[in-house]
Amino acid sequence: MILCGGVDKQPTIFDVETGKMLKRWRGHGGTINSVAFNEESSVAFSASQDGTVRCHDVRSRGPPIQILDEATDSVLSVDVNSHEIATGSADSHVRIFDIREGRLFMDFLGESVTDVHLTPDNQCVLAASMNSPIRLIEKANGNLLSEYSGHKNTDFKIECDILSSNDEIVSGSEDGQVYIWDVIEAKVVAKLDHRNISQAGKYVSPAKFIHSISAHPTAQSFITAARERVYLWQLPMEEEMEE
Amino acid sequence: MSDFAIYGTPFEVLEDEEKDAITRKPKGIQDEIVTDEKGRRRFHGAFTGGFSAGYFNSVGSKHGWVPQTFKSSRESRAEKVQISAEDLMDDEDMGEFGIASRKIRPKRDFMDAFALPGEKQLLAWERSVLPSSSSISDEGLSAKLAEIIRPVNDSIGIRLLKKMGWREGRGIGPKMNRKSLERQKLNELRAQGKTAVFDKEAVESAQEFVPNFEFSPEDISRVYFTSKEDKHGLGYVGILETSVLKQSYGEMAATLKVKQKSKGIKGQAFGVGAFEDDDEDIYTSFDLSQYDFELDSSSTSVPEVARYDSTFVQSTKKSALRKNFPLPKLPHDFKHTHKPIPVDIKKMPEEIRKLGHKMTALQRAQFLGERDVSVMEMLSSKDRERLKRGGSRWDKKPETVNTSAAASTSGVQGDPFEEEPMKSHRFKQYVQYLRRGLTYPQPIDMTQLEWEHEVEEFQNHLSPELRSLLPEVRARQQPLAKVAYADSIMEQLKGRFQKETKPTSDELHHEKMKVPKDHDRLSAVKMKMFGEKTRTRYDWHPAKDLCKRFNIPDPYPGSMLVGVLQLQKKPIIGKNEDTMELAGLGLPNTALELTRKREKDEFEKETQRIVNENVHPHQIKQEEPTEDTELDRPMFELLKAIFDESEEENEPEEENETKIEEPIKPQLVKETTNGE
Repeated sequence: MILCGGVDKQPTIFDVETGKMLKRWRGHGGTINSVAFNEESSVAFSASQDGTVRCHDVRSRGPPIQILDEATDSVLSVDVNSHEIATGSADSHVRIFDIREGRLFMDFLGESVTDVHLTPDNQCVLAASMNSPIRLIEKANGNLLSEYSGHKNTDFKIECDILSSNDEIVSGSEDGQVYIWDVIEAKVVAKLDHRNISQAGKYVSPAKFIHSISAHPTAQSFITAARERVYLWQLPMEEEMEE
Repeated sequence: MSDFAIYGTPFEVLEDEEKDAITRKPKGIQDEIVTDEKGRRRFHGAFTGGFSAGYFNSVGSKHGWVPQTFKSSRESRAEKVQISAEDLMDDEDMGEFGIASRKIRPKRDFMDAFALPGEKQLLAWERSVLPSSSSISDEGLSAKLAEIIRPVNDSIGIRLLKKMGWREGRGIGPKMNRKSLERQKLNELRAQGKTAVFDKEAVESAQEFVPNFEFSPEDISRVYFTSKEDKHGLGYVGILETSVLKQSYGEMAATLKVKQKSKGIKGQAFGVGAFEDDDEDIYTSFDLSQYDFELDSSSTSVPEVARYDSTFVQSTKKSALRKNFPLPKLPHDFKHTHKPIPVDIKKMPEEIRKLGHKMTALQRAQFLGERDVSVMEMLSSKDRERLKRGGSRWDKKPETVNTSAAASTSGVQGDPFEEEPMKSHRFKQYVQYLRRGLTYPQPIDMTQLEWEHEVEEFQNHLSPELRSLLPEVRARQQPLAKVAYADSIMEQLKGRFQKETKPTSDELHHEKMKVPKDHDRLSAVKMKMFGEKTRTRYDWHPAKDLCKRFNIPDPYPGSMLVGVLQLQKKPIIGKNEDTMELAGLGLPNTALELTRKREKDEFEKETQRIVNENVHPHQIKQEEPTEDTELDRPMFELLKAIFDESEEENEPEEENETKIEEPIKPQLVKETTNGE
């Protein structure tokens, strides 16, 4: 299943094989900024500009199971793991909803939070915000563990992610480069320049904003998206392929 | 043209102007132009009322204000010109409706009209009164009087008329005979619009008595204006007397009844059915003989008014005279003060003395009828406390707390039966037993009646907390709010208020951390001091379904809330929203309470099984739907009936889904779907 949400405010589920629309939900008040599935893919989460995150039961067409409306501004990103929901909102807060404990933790970051990711070790949350470094925050008490800076995030929603090795943080940027940091040392390990990528003689418009990053859950590879192109990066070989 | 025969009379050939006047459309109001007497246009532009002064709203004449001739040279200096108001006025002002209209009126004559031109006009009091001052002449007193008293009432016109032979009350005009006079009267009345009849009789009588006498015309009748002193409309006249209720009307109506059957002048078109007779008409048939002046008028004899009340009959026997008894004779040494004989108990028989031993002082006092209350109660509470403590009047320590109040708040029972140690002891025992939940047995030396009485007394003296321990009271006690509701409401309310005191340990669980101020937080962020200042914690209640989908046991199983208490927002009941959360509380609809409780229990059972035993959920689910559907069905029907609009969105999904989605169910109710 593919869950997608867009400006049409309707989270939609497509079937991968047939390409048909399986489900569609109405109810959001604004464009959907981010979607997520839970581990079992039984709940579809959609974070929207109306400040709510709606949790839909994938198997029903009816109203959402729950609406998380604690945010006071647009919710820009949502991430789910086995027992938690993390949301980042334009009201500068990262909200972590712990279902097991029944608690909500709100962390104030000073600037709109553009991207949140729950780390696979279940200890931390990675939060990217505007005009600020990417922060790794401890979930238990909200302490700052590490900051990653060097990239540029002033105008757009730039995504980040943690690689499957749990050693690297990768993030897009508005200066045409993808930054990779070492988690512990917080130093830039690599910068992947997207401006000069050419494709066999064909003119390729330089990509200045790399806005979307997604890491593979197990392999050491990740995808970056810029303009109309998606790049797949595989770490050990440093080869890139255009798709 | 001779072939044509001309029929009828042709129209008059009108002048052009007249033709225009007839054929043209009526002039619109916008085309009506105001012109003055010379035909010049007045009121240029959009005229909305007002007056125009001067020469077409400008200065006095075509050439502007014409100045008076000004000459100033060495020889002739310019005279000081006095400008009068009339200089600045124009024809309009001096016309008929202007402010300085020139009309001819008689002079006010409080001046001496009879004075000769040369004479000085003296005022009344200036004339010399003394006759001696003037020479006695033929006119004498009358002349002097005439000088003093001058008639000043008549106006000059009247004086002239009088000189010409007019008298007050007569009309003005040539004299005529009676006939013409009557005719003139008639004409005048008709001109006024009133109907009048030629009075022939007057003419004939005049002819008879005074055949050749000339009558002067009738004077114009004085019009007397009556000022309006009411607030009715103009011309309003109230109900006239000539209405239905007057006798004359009745007579008239009776007379106008031509036939016996005819309705006369009353109508019968409204109000009476076809099958009914009209009511007896009491307003038009007027006959005094119809009215009774007395009841039972058939008997014409005037009954006697009895001298005495007819219900009473004079008795035959004569009662005896009341006997007067004389006053009692007092002994000469009688004193009207009472001296009680003191009781000497030693002289009393043995039995009575024994009685007193068992009684306490209070009891004895009550027995003797001397005192009703114990001494303690007669003291002020302060003194009572002091006595209890064993203090004295001279203790300076102020009493801060009323001990009885303290006693009741801390649950300690005060001792109301201090006077009687036995009773007090029993009371204390009773209280102790009550605290432990036992019943105090009846003491042996008391009769049942006495004991019951005492127990009742004890119960009346219990403090409120102890009273709640009483078995009867406990049986009656029911919590006002159901626990499920109460808890959530409590949580809510707690959340809404900021605690002043430090929270106790169990309250910390539910504490809501104060959100630090924004600048605090910002500065914390700047300093990279994340943690305490930047983090806020809340209790968040996930939806049941969410927990289910995540396969996580509900952290708040009893809770009906969804979300964070403190951050509950108003429910959004939009068109596409099928959920209706009650404002702020998230309390369930009472109709769904049962199902939810049941489902909750089932869910818990279920999760237990899933988590612990790993039993295939299908088996469990198989049982449930049958029960559920039965109860769900009427519920669903009910809700469906009420909330129609959400019907189309809630169809059962797949065949194996036995769940029926209730339309307005808040997302708390779990679905009885089969597991994945």
